[in-house]
Amino acid sequence: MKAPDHALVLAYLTDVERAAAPLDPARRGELLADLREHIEVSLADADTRDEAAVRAVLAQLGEPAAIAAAALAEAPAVPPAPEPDRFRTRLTILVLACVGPATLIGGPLALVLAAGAGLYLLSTSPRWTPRQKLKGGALTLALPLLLLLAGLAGAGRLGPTELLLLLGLNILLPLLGARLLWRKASTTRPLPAGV
Amino acid sequence: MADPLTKAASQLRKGVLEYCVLALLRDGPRYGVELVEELSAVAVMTTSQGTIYPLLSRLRRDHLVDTELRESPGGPPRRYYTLTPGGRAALADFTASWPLFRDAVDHFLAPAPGPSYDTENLLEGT
Repeated sequence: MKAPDHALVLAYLTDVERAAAPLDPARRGELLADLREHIEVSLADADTRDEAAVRAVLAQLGEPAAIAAAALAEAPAVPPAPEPDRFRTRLTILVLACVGPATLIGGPLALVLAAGAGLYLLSTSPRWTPRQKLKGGALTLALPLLLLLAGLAGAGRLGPTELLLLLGLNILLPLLGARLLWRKASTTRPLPAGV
Repeated sequence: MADPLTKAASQLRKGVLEYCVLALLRDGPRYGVELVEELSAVAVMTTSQGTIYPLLSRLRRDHLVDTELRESPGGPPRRYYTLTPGGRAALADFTASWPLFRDAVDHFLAPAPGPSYDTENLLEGT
């Protein structure tokens, strides 16, 4: 699906892209792909690529603004999508980051409560993609849970160094996970305002 | 004829265009350019070919049509549109409803002598 790399075509598609900026990125991509394909196929059907033919195809496609307006009219549901709650996002990250330390202070009960709350907040948040949730969740929760299992299994066999290391990691990894979520939350915007 | 449609025309078009697309697919798959050209050959249906693609995209999302990319000898691959069973049902529904609407609208628009005229004439006649 290579676009005809004619300067006119590129300029036209850029105009459509700009006019369709408020559109959901996936929809916009689909629209541009459809138009690109239309131009490509039309020129192939006409068996020519001279400038007059390109101009004719573009003229028939119509004004970029009209096409963008039609696309927006078909997809009005995107702009009203609520901006994910910033407070909630921060709370989610905070709770997840605290799972490790909470375990040290409050023991297994605190761990289960904090991990449960964190998991719930994370899994129901619209802020992250499933993949990001999986990564962030795994980073923050893996070690505290491992520690819990070790505790249940009886960690008597662990030497003091290993225990110290585990406890250190128990704080470090959740913090890393929280940092990852924090970064993703601040770099990826659900409503790209000018992408 | 390439003027922007009047308000009434564009509202009407909004209501019927998708069924015209479905009707064009009744007898088999067609590729985008083919569909768009047939539609825009009828001036009242569209002024700008590009505006049909968002509609096609919605029909695809609503599972009224399916698409399939097919290789074409000596040219770029083409996206063919096919009616789904749901699309066929929607078309059948529209096909059944349309004559009723058409007749009803004609009925109201027709400059036939209304009942008030009749009574007036009758009164004058007596």
